Amino acid sequence: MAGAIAMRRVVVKGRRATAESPTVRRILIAVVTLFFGLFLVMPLVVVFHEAFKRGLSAYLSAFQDPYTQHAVYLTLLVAVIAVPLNTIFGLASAWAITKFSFPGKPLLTSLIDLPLWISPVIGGLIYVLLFGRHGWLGGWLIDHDIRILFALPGIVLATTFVTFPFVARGLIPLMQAQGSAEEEAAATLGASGWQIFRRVTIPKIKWGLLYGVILCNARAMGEFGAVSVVSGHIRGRTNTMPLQIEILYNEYQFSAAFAVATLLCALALLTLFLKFIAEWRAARQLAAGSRS
Amino acid sequence: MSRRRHVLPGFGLTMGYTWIYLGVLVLLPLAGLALKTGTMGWGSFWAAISSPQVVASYKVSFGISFLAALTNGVLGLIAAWVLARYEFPGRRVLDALTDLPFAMPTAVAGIALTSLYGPHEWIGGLLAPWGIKVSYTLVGVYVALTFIGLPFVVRTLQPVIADLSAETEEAAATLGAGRWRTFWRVIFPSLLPALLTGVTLAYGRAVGEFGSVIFIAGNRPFHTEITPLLIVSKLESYDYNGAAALGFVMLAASFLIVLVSNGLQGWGARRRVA
Amino acid sequence: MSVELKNLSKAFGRFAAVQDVSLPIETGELIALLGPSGSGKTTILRMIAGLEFPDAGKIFFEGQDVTFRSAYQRRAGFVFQSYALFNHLSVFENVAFGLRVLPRRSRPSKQAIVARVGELLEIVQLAGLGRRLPAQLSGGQRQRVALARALAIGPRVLLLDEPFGALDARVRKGLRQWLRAFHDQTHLTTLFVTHDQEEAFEVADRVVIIDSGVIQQSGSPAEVCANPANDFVVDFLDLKPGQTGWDG
Repeated sequence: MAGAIAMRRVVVKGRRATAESPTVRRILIAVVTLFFGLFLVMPLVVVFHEAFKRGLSAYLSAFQDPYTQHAVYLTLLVAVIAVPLNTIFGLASAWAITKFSFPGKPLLTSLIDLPLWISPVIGGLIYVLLFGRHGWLGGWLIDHDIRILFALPGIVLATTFVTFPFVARGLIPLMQAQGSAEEEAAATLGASGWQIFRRVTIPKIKWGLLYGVILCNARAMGEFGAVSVVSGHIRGRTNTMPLQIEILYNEYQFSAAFAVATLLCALALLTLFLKFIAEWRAARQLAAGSRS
Repeated sequence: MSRRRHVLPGFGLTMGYTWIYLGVLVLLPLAGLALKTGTMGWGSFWAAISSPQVVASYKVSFGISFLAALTNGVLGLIAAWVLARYEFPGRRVLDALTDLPFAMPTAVAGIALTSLYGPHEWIGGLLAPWGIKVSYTLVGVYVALTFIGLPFVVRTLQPVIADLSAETEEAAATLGAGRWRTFWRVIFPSLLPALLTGVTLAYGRAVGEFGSVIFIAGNRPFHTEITPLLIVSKLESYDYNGAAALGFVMLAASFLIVLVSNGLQGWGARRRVA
Repeated sequence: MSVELKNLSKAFGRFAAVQDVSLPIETGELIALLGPSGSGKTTILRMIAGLEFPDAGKIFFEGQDVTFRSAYQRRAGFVFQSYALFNHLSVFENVAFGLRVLPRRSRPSKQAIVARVGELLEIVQLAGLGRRLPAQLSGGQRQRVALARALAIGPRVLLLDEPFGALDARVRKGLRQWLRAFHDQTHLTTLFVTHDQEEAFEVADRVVIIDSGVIQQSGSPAEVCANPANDFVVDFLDLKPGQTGWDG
């Protein structure tokens, strides 16, 4: 009798007990679609709409501006320096954290997260206090005629600071989930550290690594707060793409501002796409691994 | 005999590199900030962090961030649930788009939101007849901070929802609990630690946010000016002491937020094992 | 090769996994480390391979102290319980791995590697499956790939961690007989870990019974059955009083 009641309860009108009614479902899906539509899709659409509103030639002419060209060049240059540095750091720290046990590991992982939870403005501020004219090393730098602030080194430093967690954070959970059995097997077969890393670890983590690098790159190219503080906004010299967007926008050159923005948006979309692929591949790999 | 031994090679190399990198890039400059604040004396420090304009900016940064994090808590919970549990056309696209605020440069988000919510624009135009102004008001700050915090709640909750045991829910159903009761009595309590963690992370991110806010906020002193912007303007007028003092306050606030979030994560982890 | 364990101890945090274990192993022996889960037997095996390091005690290979040699210097053939195959590499490449990572001077030529791997796949009855990926194999086949991979480096000692654990009963039986026959041919010093006494007794020359990180008894299957050293051995082997010497 009790069993019969339970049966009836679990399947209500042929619907599983662990599912909401179709009406509730539809409402919830509508809420989420509206929320995402307003906050995620529309901003994306508006960037491309504003950029192309005056036609393709207006869009292309935005890139004729030598200052804009220089901003694109500088952004690429900064990324080319900062991203490899952070990739090596990400690999090294992920290896240290996932392959060994040592005291202070939680502290180290929190430190790696630091740029994610402090204001990017602080990421710029700390370097100004260090290298600025009235900073700790300012006088010495002026005496030796070394320019860090309002120049490439400062921009690279601030960018590197803000983006260093991304590769490491992508790799650490992945490498933890995969475990070290294959690396240990390689060690018993006589492989050296470098051989283990290159022949066993890299193939296992390549998709996660690729996503981490691409995300790090997107954030490096798009960094605004920290770079804004250390760059000095010198047109044609220290303006990166996001800073150039700000200037164009504040000068009411909306089409040009949004045209530059489309480049960074395309990069962001590529990043999301690669994340999608990387997660799919990682899930497949883990599934294949757990079957063995 | 007590010499540490490791099975896999590379411990010294990777640990050394990691700490040197962190030391040069992070610890040394942060120590500089702390030292700068330490040398300025209590009186001038207090003056710098408690002037009326600064206090007004705290209210914007910390207050509006709170509202935005709360919004993300409610809508993020629904979004995480829908994305993890329901199958519907467009689900994968929405799921992939969740990380957009993470990948999109903040300045681009800033100008996009400003254009979208301006009084004569797509969304702003719809709201204007109702007397709601978004761009250049606190509502604008709120919109930007909600955007920036959106991924945190969703991404923290999704794996926890996926890990929920269907059997527990079924057990609740066999015991006679309706879907609504099951949600509040069984599901929600097990999601709570992750939900609070996500809200805390979103709050932490919003408090420090700069790029997306300054375009839409209008930055009127005493009204819509955020604390990070005050740091920037103090630096631009070479008031290093003032900037360092404010930076120190922001840093301390972030530390506090991280402590809370770590505590919540620990709570959640203990509950999952139990 | 002979292996000697002298007073090995190992703790994980406050848990003493292995306590003062001494065990001489003759060249060509086939030994089963038998005990319940958590008894420390796998830890002992991993210490021999260099995958864990003892807190105290010494390990000798052929009289040579290797206690703090790394796994890659020891090159013991180790077969992992979960096989730990390289899932991104084909069966052929898995087996060839240990040869490909040799320093250039001692690395065999390409043709020699192909020949050697072919030979090994023949031995483990996997000829023709070289191009498959591990995910495309059955459990028993993966186990044999792991074995061939360990044998490829020409190890002086073969270590197997629960080699038959994850397999179904029929495959397990076949593989047991295969291992016994393989050992009779090669006389390679072999240790395997198991919690299954039937398996240990059927395959091994000598059984080492371990509990709580301590060796309870070591001897041939017949000796252990005839003269169980203590209550634990009696209990664990489920010896009926009638079978034992002491119950009159």
